[in-house]
Amino acid sequence: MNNTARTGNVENMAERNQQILAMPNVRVFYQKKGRAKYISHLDITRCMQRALKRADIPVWYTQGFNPHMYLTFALPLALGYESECECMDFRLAEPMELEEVKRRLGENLPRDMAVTRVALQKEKPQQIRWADYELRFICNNPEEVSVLFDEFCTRPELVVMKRTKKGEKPVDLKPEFSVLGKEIEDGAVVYKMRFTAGQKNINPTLLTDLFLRESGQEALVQVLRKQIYLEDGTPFS
Amino acid sequence: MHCKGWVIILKEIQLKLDRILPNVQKPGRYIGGELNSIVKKAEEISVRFAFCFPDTYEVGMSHLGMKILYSLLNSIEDVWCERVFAPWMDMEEAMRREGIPLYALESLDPVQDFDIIGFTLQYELSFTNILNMLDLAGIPVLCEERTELKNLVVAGGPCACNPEPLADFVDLFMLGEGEDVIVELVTLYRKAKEEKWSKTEFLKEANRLEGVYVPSLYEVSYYEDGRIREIAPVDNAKFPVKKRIVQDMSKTFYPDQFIVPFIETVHDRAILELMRGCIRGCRFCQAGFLYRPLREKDPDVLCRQGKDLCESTGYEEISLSSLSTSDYSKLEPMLDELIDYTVDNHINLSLPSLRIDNFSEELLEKIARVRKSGLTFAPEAGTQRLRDVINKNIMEEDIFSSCRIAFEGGYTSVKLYFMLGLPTETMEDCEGIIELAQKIVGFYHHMENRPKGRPVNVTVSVSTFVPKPFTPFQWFGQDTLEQIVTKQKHMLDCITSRKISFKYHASKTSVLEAVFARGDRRLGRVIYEAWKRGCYFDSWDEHFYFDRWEEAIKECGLSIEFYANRTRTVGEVLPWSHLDFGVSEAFLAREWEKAQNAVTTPNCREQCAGCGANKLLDRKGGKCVE
Repeated sequence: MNNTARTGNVENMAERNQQILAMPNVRVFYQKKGRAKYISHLDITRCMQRALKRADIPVWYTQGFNPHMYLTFALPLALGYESECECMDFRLAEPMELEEVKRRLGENLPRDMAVTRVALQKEKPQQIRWADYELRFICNNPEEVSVLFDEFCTRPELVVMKRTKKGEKPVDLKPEFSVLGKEIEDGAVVYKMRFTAGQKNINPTLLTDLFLRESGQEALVQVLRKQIYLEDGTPFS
Repeated sequence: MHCKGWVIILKEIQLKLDRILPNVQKPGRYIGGELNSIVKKAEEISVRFAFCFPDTYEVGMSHLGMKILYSLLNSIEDVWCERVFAPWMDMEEAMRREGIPLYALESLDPVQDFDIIGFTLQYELSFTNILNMLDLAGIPVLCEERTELKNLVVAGGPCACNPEPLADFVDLFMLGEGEDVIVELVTLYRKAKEEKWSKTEFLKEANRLEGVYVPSLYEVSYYEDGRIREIAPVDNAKFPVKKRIVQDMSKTFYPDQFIVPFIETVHDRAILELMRGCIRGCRFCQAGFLYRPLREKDPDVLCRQGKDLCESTGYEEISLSSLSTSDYSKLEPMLDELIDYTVDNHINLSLPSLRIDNFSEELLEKIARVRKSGLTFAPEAGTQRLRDVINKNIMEEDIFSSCRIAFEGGYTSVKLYFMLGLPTETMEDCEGIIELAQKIVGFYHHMENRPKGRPVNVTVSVSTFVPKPFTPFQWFGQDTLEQIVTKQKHMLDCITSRKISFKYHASKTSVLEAVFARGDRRLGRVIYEAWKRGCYFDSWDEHFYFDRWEEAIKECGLSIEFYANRTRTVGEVLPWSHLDFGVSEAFLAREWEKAQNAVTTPNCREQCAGCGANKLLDRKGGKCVE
């Protein structure tokens, strides 16, 4: 707790608050891969607070009774997914070059996380509309699985029960995704797909779980989020 | 050494884990990869050490000893120490189903690949978890079934002061503090591995290291009635076996970084160890005797270590660790310096283990600058007579003056800890606990400058006393379950105020704890049988099956009463009689005698009681305290 801030005189405080308002709002894009995919969103928040602290980046703290770093994350990732496009926002309390923020934070992240880009905040997270994923079906019979999955995706309706805050409700996934491409590898078939994301968010495993359940196929599906987009298809930045 | 970067080698186990981890609780427990965890190249390593904590990740990751030894071992270039925890039951089931053996968190390699498998013994009720972890690793639980040098099973920690119940399962114990002996052990192991010694050869040689105890080199014989006749060394093995201590706390190894867990653990913060040992000599407290003599760490060293730790971890809290924080002789100057740093850096400071009789207003002010939570005091017993028996050396006035300071400082809730079943305890002593709480409530209401508008709350928490080895109460028979329950009920009946919350719990775990704390080698079979019946995670209430333990004990022809409730006579050979922890049996016997007459012993700073622990210090004839 910052004692000097509390006891400092009112004029200084007001002046300082003015300066802080003028401080840049920073957006960090980072990757979360490997073992880090099993770290929940809540735990990532704490992990980032500590990384910022180690990095000695002058992040703005809330000024309440219990001051803490104010961090916001654009699009929380489901547990078990990897991602190349995670996004975290915060405000600086003192000026610092964005390249310096990138370098310092990068040096202080756990092994399986890395900073890809640091910029000023441009769009609001509420404008996010789509996300691209790579879905890797690891199985013994990739050819067969791919034929079945293609066929499955052409069905007129794909209804699943989706858990929401108000309980379960049926959702038709059909209008919420598109297949962008696929590749068959040794022991796996990899699909590139786009799903609805943002205010309404569809996790790809809703679709793949339904597929595996209905086709009776055995496959392990690994998910990697590649990019997030606005309505018009430009990347969120 | 610490490789950071983007080389992700997918091992077969990772695919298997991908299959099961999405469906278990808290997968973050099982995957490693935390900041400051150490990854080395297995092919460049001479000795691989699996540091096993026989409980969950959250519990084990809070433990200071593991952090120290992990960093210490990894500071040796060709040694790689990794962490292993007991998987929770859902994970264990999935692992057994998928054929995943117990693995270490850094490399994800099976524990079977490791040279040394080390367990830390923090509490008796974790013993069965050791068997279960070995089994899950595909390693035979019995020493005699492990004939190779590889997969050597070692153990240390406070419960190693009476390791006898584990003698069937653990090849070698380290007694006392591990910093020096563990390095010597690993060095000897490296040599044995290079020169291809047999396990027997190695154990014999290891037993020569000070602080190492190999149970198979000592034979125990019994009288008909179950008491021990003799503990005799085999083949000239040393006798007695002395514990090891660190000579200089300011110079000994201390990590400048802790692993920072992703998931929330029990204690997730920087820890500073102020001192080892305690000047007080409370007769019930095993730690107070086990960690003698008192050794303090230099305040400048502490401040530097605190800063280093915060900088390398990003922690927002530092906790001061010792058996009695306010007895640290340089506490206030140290706090002055440390608080300047913590305040500037948004770091909280927590001070557990404050004593009631030297709890000053200045100290409270210092804590208040940091954070205001509840205050906890431990009078331990309800009447002055009984507090004298246990040598707690605090008076009722001390309790009231501390409460006054606390109330004036704005606190309205205090928590008081007590024990039931102490030697010489009567119903009057039990009533005394409630009366004391009642008096504190009354005292609050009579204070003119009490915090306005907020009701006072006094929480009384009672646990069951468990007699432990190397204390003056090591001869004392524990109260039976019935006696404890009667006392608890009586206390409940005595409470008239609604401002008092009374907390107590089923004491069956304390009974078992008492059995193992003072158990002998014959209990090995009991542990094995109970584990076979599905007992493990015994310290977790929901997994504690007392009836299965009773069956196992009966089947082995033993009884709970013999171990838990029997008062021993001074002079009886105790299962730990061949172990020397510094405090002499003569001193403990003197203290036991004084206890029964309710005579107190001054603390070590006032007057040396001649416990004998000073002989462990290198500086000959030196005193423990200044």
